Amino acid sequence: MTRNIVKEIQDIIDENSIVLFLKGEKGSHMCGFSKQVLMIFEQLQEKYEISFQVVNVWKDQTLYDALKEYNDWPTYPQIFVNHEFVGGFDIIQELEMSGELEELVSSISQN
Amino acid sequence: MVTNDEIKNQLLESFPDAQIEVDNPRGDDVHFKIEISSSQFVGLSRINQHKLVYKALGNKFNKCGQSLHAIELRTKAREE
Repeated sequence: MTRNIVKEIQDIIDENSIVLFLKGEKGSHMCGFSKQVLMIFEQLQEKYEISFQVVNVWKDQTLYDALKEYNDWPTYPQIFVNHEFVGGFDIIQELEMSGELEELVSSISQN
Repeated sequence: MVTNDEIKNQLLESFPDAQIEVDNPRGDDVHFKIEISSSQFVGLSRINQHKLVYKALGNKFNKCGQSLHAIELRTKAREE
């Protein structure tokens, strides 16, 4: 049965309000940028009781390649909030510093 | 080894009017900090601004499949 990788990606994004496509995962080796993004969301999780789905793209080469094309974004991490692409490491960092990320995330925890 | 100037010149080809700062905080040829302000970003979302920059960089820096994957990018839309 061949994989419909695009559908798999769409399902992951549609079925979760927050998805972190990271290089690595908690408890194992992680790329520095991915680790920093994970920490940002862990802090938000404590404050707003939100949940997020982590996908370790290092574990799935097919998904690793397909998501870059699907999202027209050449690097990881890739972060989706409210089923929309929000950015990579640097944009998440900017949103976090400006408070926009907190606003976005807190609006999810209410509904 | 990719240099700051190489990146700057590559970007200037697509953003001739831009002000560009390229920094190499760890002294390697993978992690770069790029700040770029250009009138081409006016009206674009941050994501689309970044997409323009990634396209401009292209895979010129694709060293054995290990392209520039650790770029910290700050874009700014600059009115004419």
